[in-house]
Amino acid sequence: MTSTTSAATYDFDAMLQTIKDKQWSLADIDWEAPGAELMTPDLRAKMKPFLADLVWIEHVGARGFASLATKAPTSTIAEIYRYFHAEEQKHANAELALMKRWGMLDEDGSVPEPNINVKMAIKTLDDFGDSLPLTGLATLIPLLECALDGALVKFLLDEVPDPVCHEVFRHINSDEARHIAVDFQVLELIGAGPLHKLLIESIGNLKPQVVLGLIVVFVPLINKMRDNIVAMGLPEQKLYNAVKRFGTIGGRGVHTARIPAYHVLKAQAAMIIDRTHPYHRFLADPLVKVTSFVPARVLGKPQSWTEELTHEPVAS
Amino acid sequence: MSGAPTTPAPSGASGSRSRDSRRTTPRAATASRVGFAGPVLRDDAWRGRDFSGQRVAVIGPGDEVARIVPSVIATAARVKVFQEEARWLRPPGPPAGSLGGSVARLVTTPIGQVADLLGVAGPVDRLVGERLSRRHLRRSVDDAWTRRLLTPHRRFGARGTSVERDYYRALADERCVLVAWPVYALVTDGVRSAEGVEHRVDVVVVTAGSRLRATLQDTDRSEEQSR
Repeated sequence: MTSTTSAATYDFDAMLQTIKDKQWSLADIDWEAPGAELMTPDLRAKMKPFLADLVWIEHVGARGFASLATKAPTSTIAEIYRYFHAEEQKHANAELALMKRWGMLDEDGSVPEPNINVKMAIKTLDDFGDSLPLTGLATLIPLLECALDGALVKFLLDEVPDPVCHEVFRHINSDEARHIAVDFQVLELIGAGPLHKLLIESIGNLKPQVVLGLIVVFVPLINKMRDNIVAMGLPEQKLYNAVKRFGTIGGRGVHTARIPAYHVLKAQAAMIIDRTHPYHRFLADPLVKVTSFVPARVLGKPQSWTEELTHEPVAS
Repeated sequence: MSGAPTTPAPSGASGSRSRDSRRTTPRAATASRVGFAGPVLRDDAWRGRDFSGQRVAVIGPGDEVARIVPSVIATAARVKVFQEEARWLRPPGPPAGSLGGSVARLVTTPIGQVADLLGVAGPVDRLVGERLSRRHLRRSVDDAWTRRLLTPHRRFGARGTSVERDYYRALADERCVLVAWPVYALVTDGVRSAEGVEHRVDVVVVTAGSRLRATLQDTDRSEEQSR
């Protein structure tokens, strides 16, 4: 359609209402239903580290939406982000409940310890999360969601025969479809703004220490995750398709292409999925190695949002 | 244990503080249901009520829950504060008549008058008010994430600001929990919020400015029609 469509006409109020109508609860799911026995010991052992990573990625993603909510262009979009923040937390909680169902948590049901790269991401979000520029964060989140939704979750459902898992992910996928739809509409809205504002926001806000920090934290985080899942048997084609989808949906927009961050992240994503690219040899692989030596102590105590995960559907 | 009243119960049911019930309208005193088995208290119906042994949810925007929670926690067994939106809360000033109060007025009154004369009273109040409110929050609440949840995204003065009295102290009480997740339903046994958890409570207090009010009114209307 023409340039006046999408952002100008997209009905964020109707979307907010849909989001409210589609809410679901962990209490809606029968966590004791049969099917857990379909998980073989091999499958459990293989899935445990994957799910632990997934729980933490969702949880860190949730924190990203909390930052977005503070700088949303309109109050309706701010409220939508408030729901998305909660929904990502819900996904993390539901995945934790699946781990509990499959006997992957210890006796007291405590949350698995995040790896060092997740801990560094948490530290970065605690320190800079609310000062990152809107365009960067608003572009990064749909990219991660495309990867999560298109590759990781499909892989999980291919591997796991438990019907309760499929029920949970039907809910999660339906939520994620709305997240991706809104994410790209917001990019359209931002992209439709004056070009000088986009450039100033993109260049003016780039403090060198923050950019360097983001590279050191997120490059190894993503690469470690990437290699772990590929080692577990995820076909690289799936990752490729997921990232291609980011470009396809973004390309449908009229104004999204005016956002510099969109092009930077799209290019980076293309390098990440291509294992032969020098990006891995010269940047990502060395960073994974170096960060593995970082002692968790130096990061200090994370903020208390990291303690809000729960696998319990009911609290009193 | 909540005794789920099927008929409208007068507020201040404990009967101990009848002076409060005068302030409530009959409408406010009704206990409505939105699928919730216990009483849903609106407007001033929480005043003077004895919540002994009860788990109470208080739902509304930050400044309104801040006025209610300190009284509720005085008698309740547990309180969950469902904050719909953070609002600016000014620090309580020194009490009138005290030395501190007199000195403060001696300093601030002329500044206020000059600012008024120059026509910059609004911006000055915003600048000073926001700083004082932030400092008060930083001094009163230890946890950085809780402080973030209590800090509004809007500029100071974009909405009227209230004064914080005993609210931060109430939040620090181990019987009190601050929940900033959006509430989407009241079900038989409690409150469901969007992080996927059902919070079991015995009584729900919904403030005047709460986003749930529209839902509650729709339910009232459909109940009246079905009668």
